[in-house]
Amino acid sequence: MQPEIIRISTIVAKIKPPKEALRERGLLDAQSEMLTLNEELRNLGIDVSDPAVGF
Amino acid sequence: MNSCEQRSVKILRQDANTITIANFRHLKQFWLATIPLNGLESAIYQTQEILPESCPACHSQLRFRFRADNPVVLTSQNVLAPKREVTLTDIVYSIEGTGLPAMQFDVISALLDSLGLSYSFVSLQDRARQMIYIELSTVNQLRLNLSPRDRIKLLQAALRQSDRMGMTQMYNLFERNCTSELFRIIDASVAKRIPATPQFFINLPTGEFVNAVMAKANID
Repeated sequence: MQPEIIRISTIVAKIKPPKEALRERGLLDAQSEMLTLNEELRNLGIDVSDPAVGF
Repeated sequence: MNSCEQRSVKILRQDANTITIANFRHLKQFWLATIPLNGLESAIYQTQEILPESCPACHSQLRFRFRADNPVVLTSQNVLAPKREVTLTDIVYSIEGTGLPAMQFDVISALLDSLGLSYSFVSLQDRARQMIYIELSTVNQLRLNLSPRDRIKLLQAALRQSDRMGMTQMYNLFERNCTSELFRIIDASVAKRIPATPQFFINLPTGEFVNAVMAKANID
């Protein structure tokens, strides 16, 4: 195999989803889960499509 | 590099309680921002699902939330503009792709060292409008388990990274992207454990410049 392909294969094998990487670093706890930003803004009655709406 | 819409910040002044920066983006303008370190209430890791079920290839950014009684204060960066102040409780650190205004888009080179990076500080309002209204994405959020002191350390690390990098770095899908750059500062400032073996994060380039060149490529 070409060295570049071997290098990319090695990298792909070590790819981490950010949530898992944060957990491994001790940065998440039971209170970490939040609403999505979409839900948070909807609950606040904020329409992000309106430039006049600030928050 | 196109710095009309996306820029890294410049630290102008700092003391024990505040850091003042230039090039903070809000409502498509650049502002001076005075950031009160003691007002910092939480640090939140956000992931934008660019493609359905696409994680880990999502855009990542950090949201910093301030108390309403001690917010970030913006003043115009244009000395000739009327003096007015804007206050924000939520700001975002977002590392985004940018390039030359006349750039021709092609997928392969865009993923490997042809786009530049801007290490941008932006209002949550601007990012929310871009991600949710324009790009129709879902944005997931994780509140980081950090002490007040570590929250400040993470914010300071982000500001210093943006100031230090300026507009000198190139996006690379495998080695330098929005997420790998965030984990660089997380590991250097607040991580409670560092993995023994190197980890990689892949993320598609994002940002207003990337959207514009992709739209142009579709039209052409």
